[in-house]
Amino acid sequence: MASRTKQKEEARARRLAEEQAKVEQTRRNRRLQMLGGVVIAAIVVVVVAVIVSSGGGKKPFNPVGHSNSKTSSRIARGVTSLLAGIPQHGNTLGNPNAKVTVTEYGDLECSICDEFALSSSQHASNGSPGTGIEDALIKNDVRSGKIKLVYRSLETASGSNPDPKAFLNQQTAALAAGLQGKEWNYVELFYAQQQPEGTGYVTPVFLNTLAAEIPGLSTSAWSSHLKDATLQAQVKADVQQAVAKGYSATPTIVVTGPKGEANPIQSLPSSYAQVESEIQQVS
Amino acid sequence: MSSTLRRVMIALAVIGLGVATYLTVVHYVGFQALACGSGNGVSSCQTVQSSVWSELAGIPVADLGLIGYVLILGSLLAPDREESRIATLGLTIVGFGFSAYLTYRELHSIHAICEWCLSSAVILTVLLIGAITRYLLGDPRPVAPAGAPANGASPDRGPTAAELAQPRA
Repeated sequence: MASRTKQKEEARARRLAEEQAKVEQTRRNRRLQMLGGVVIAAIVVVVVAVIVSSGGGKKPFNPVGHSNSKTSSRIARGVTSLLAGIPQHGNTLGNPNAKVTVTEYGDLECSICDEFALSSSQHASNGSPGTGIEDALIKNDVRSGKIKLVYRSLETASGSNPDPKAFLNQQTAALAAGLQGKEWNYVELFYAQQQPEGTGYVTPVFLNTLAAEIPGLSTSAWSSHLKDATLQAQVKADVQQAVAKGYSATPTIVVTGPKGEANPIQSLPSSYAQVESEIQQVS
Repeated sequence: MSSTLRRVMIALAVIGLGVATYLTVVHYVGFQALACGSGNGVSSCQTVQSSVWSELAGIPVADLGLIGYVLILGSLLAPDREESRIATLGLTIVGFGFSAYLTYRELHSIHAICEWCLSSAVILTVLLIGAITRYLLGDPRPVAPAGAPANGASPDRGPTAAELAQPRA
């Protein structure tokens, strides 16, 4: 009889233990489900926010090329208007007899050069607002004949392009436009539609689209010079010259005039006034 | 341990709220008001705050940070239960993830660092570590409400086996 009672107690204890384990298991599962749900929801929120934010960093230009889009037409009109009536010879913008020369060593894929080139109402490919310095130089100093601007090549940001030939191709494309007196149109259009660094957007289609946006440029003549050995040699010579002078950053701004050469600005100038001060110094 | 951790997290959330409030005010007053280091004569905070990454779908990220810290603080001040702990965890994951992304953009896209944004990113990182620890610790359970079983049964857990067995015994 005692043994029967003991057996009953043992069975009851077993049942209680099993039920306790079941309750614990249910509780654990509920906790895990709740945790999993919250973590997944949080990650989804972050991913959506990142996607939306990344979209905001891109310029409205379609890199695969729609030259008839409203945005690229607006950009092209802005560049044409900025440079209208200013003489161009190869890589030089402005009066070739101007006493002061402002040389920009640049890489067309460099986002800091983009900041230098764009007006303050535009955003560079890195999301920063344009400084308006180059705009001011062109409007105030080049147009008046006080200075001439020279564009030279120095590879920096293009090093992160998956295509190792992108730098040579894009800089040669600009020089090819220079053969028709349109290099600065090409350079300005490139910067205005530059995409984030390292994204491999510099394709033949992208380069052709820019050329097609330049009024008066013969795209067939331009494209026949894209592999021009002389132009490619000029790109390489520019780079060698810059390296020989110890320049490693873009933009590097060198101001020379009758009184010599000012200290090269090997970064983004702090303001238009800084460049203007160097112009005064060498004039 | 858990209550101390909670107090530390509340203090951090208040500091974060202060930073986000400051950045929100500056956003509307003007970036020139930012107390910040400079590079090339241009305030690095100004560069970051005026970049395209400073807004998400047209909403300033400073505003989003402000809302985020308010929610985190609310979840920390709510009764210490499983639901509030997991809410803090979820909110800090979102905050940490997005601030990590923005810091990446500062370093690799904008090439400028905003000290205020960075301090918020550090606060959110510590808050996330705190939220994970607090969730894993789980206890203490809340004080049993009046009329609740004296054995400490709380609304955030199921009944014990003894409780289940009782009516059938």
